[in-house]
Amino acid sequence: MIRISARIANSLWLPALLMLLWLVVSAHSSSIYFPPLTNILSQFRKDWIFANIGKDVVPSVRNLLLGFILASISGVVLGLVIGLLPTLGKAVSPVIHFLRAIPPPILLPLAAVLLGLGTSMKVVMIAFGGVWPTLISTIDATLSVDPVVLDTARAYHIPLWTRLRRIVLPQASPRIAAGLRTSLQLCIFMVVVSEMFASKGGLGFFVLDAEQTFAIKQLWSGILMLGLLGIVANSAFSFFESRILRWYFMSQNK
Amino acid sequence: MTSTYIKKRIRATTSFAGIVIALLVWVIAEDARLLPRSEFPSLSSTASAFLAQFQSASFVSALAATLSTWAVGLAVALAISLLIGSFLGSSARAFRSSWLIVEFLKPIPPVALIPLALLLYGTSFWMPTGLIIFGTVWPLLVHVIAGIRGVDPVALDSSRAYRLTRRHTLRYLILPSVLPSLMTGLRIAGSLGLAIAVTAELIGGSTGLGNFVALDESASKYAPMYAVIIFTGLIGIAINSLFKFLSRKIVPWHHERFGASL
Repeated sequence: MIRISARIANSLWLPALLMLLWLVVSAHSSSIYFPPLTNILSQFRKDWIFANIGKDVVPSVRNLLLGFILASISGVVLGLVIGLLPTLGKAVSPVIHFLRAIPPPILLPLAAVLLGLGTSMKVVMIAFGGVWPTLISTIDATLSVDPVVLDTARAYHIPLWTRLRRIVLPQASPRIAAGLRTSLQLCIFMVVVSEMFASKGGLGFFVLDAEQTFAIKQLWSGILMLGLLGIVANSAFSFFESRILRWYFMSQNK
Repeated sequence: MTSTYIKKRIRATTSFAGIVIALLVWVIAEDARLLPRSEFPSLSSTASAFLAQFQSASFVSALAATLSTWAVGLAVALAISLLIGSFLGSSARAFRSSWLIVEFLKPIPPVALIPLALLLYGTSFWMPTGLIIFGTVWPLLVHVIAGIRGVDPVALDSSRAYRLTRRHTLRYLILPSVLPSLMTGLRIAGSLGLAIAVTAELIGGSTGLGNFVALDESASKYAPMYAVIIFTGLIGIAINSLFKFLSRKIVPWHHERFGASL
């Protein structure tokens, strides 16, 4: 009991101290750009409980979920196909290499020309920006599945679907999960950028609009909300990962 | 020996065939008028726009702006993360009291700070550079800390027992553990930094390739827009290859798995 509370105190004292420092130092701040923390927090309450939730948070979260799901499914499926067909992999590798090297935000003007400015363009761009880590780690993980096991399964005429489900996916899943985690970060990045580029709603629009109308307190409350979104999305991912890959983490700790 | 050579040749030929097929698809789609011509410029007009860019002074200055903010931002982030990371990595107590802060700040999307950076720095050099520093410092910091904490504690104790000088401990014990991890962090930070630079230019409007593409789009100049996008992809590849090359030179014993197939 004492040891646990000591550990909690150990990891909490510095964050708490910094928050307190922010509170005290900013209390009488007259700088336009750095308003007192108390003002930011009361603005945060005004903006997000629950006035602008429907207008700005819901579209961002929905686009993030849709884009991330699209990126995950296409990354894993394409990755499995490419990983199981090495010749195809060699043929498409320069194209993949090139596409993932393009910083995705620079494609937004192009996507606007081709797909318009609606939600579907945003979701496609979020998925396009986030798909590469999942795709590449799925290819890598599939290529490194024990070939003897795969050959044996083929010799026993175990059908392809069962081979995928029972041999490839379990061996590849820890690394696919690592790729998905990076993909999630990139998807959040793209959610914000896509809402800043010629958009009329969402958290990215909210902070950019606050800057353009010189509403500094809203700007800070929007940044806080975006930070919160990033933290919640990451924690949710860790939660599901630890559930689904429990067998793997337990085998690592042995 | 010979067989690996042949394998390499086959691999190169297959990859080359992939590029040729991708370009052929472009030409055929354009010939069959599958795509609206105005929004999908032909391969030849894109290629000539590509070559024309190098004669345009505004393109060259945009390129120089993007590359210089990228390099300065990355260098500052590297210096910060080496300084803070070596402190946090070498003391268990410092690590415990600070990891929560790192975990809290790391997931904040750096692009969320574009409006704040615009307020503070306008469209000057430090707007994109400051964002690059804030965004790339986390992957670098995490990898520096992981590298230092990965030093074998038994070896560290032995080095102390044998009274190795600090310089020798650093040279033969700490660096071999930190460098591979640091090189991985640098590769991640390198492409992230380029993405942040381009975004800051696209949204914030400071000089650079991102802004260049946005201007071409609003002027409906699609061939140069495609050309600059393709060029930016080539910069991305060059940055990746640069870090791969450095990694092979600096840490030849470290075999990086990630992306090894591509």
